[in-house]
Amino acid sequence: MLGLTAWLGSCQPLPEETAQISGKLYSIKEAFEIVATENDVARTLYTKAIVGAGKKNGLKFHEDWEKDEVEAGPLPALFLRGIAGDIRKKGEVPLGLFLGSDFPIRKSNKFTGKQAELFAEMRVDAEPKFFYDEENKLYTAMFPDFAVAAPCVNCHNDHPETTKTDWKLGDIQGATTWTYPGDSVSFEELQGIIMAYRNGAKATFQSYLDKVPSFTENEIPEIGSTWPAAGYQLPTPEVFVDSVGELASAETLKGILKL
Amino acid sequence: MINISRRRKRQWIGFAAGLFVTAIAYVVLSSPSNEEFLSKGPMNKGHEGFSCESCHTDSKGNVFQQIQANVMFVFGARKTEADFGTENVDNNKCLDCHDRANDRHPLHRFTEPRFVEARKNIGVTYCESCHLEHNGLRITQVETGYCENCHGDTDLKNDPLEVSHKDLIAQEMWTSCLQCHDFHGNHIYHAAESMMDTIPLKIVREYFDGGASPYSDKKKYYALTEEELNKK
Repeated sequence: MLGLTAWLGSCQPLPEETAQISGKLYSIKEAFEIVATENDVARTLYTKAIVGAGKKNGLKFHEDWEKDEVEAGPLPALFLRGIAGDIRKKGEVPLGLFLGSDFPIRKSNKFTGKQAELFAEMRVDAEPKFFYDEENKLYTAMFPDFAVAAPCVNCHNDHPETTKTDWKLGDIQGATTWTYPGDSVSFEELQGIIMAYRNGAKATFQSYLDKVPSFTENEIPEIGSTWPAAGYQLPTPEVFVDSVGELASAETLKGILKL
Repeated sequence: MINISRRRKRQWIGFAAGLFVTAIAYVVLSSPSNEEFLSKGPMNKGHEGFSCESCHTDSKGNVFQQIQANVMFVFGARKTEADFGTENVDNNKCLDCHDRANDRHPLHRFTEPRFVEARKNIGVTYCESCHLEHNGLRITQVETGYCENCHGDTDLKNDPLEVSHKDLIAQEMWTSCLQCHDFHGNHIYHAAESMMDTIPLKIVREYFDGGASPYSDKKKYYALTEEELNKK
């Protein structure tokens, strides 16, 4: 027995897949609030400066944007879905991001169960909701999605499959749901969460730009440092994400410093 | 000369014979040409001819480290178990070759709390819930009406189908979904607009069992080959 113990103890221990990080500085609620703010900024920027301004200058956006025959970019909700997919596919952080509503365009995106209950409360108080998902063993947060720009209202009111046609600016159109397996995170983990979100935004924007050169019926927009407000053009993913960082920096720093 | 009892002699002979058989079995079964003897069953459609190592990659560390790590785990000195021998074949292994941007039903979406019933009913967060390997089939999920787990409220205002989706659902014709729609949405085709033009369920089932795709022979994305995976 002594020999076995000595034998097993003599080799270099196998490192764990999940890094051993000490010093959990932030509750998961604080981390969710920080990344949800980043998400609000990115979505608002995309909706106003890319979709809203782009439509005025001839760019097209469509729910079937990924189909080969559709020469368009992703609508805001699909842009977020792209970010959510990128976060999960890369798997660098165990963060989940989902979209839903009580009046979704697609019925399969309608909240049910606990999420439906909490979303009904959110409709009344417009406050984020936090709960522990026992079945999945995940800490979960829901943040309201406000109609922040005219395209949010117009596209949802005019969509052929809409279940509600009287959306107006400032309405809660749905909620983003965030999940994470731990009740708290270290600074490094928080940094990982923020960067996973920003990298997801960059990758999803890049996938839109990757499609642009295949346009045949529409002119190919110029890609560079300028925005659609200035013409039929798009910024690079770096320019887009840098702007997200700049716009979100004050709130993100407040969250990190717990001010 | 050591005097050994007959009983002890038999024990040594038995031990030596066991060791010999084990050594022979190890050498023979380790040979790549004998992989089929170790396999749990025939590879699924599209995976025929794959080597074991395509999926069953070596786990991290050497065998001593793996034993040590698991002993530490048992005594609470480590948070996670270590894979022993080969790594667990999980979703990530499948997605190494099959991940694609246009997946209509990506696994991660179903980890959202509201899909609790779908998870319980069809285990929709795992590839192997529908594609259990070593069965010589394409899809091992035997139910073809699983869409009912999430799409019960479907009601299209501009329904392209002659019989509305809402009516089909009211009649609980859940097996009809796959007669027009491929689950992962990777085939390039136009879905039928008439029930007369839908794919017979028998053909769908044959596709499940490994037959040709009834949706289209064109796909937007193709899975990586074993060579492409190795280069990745």
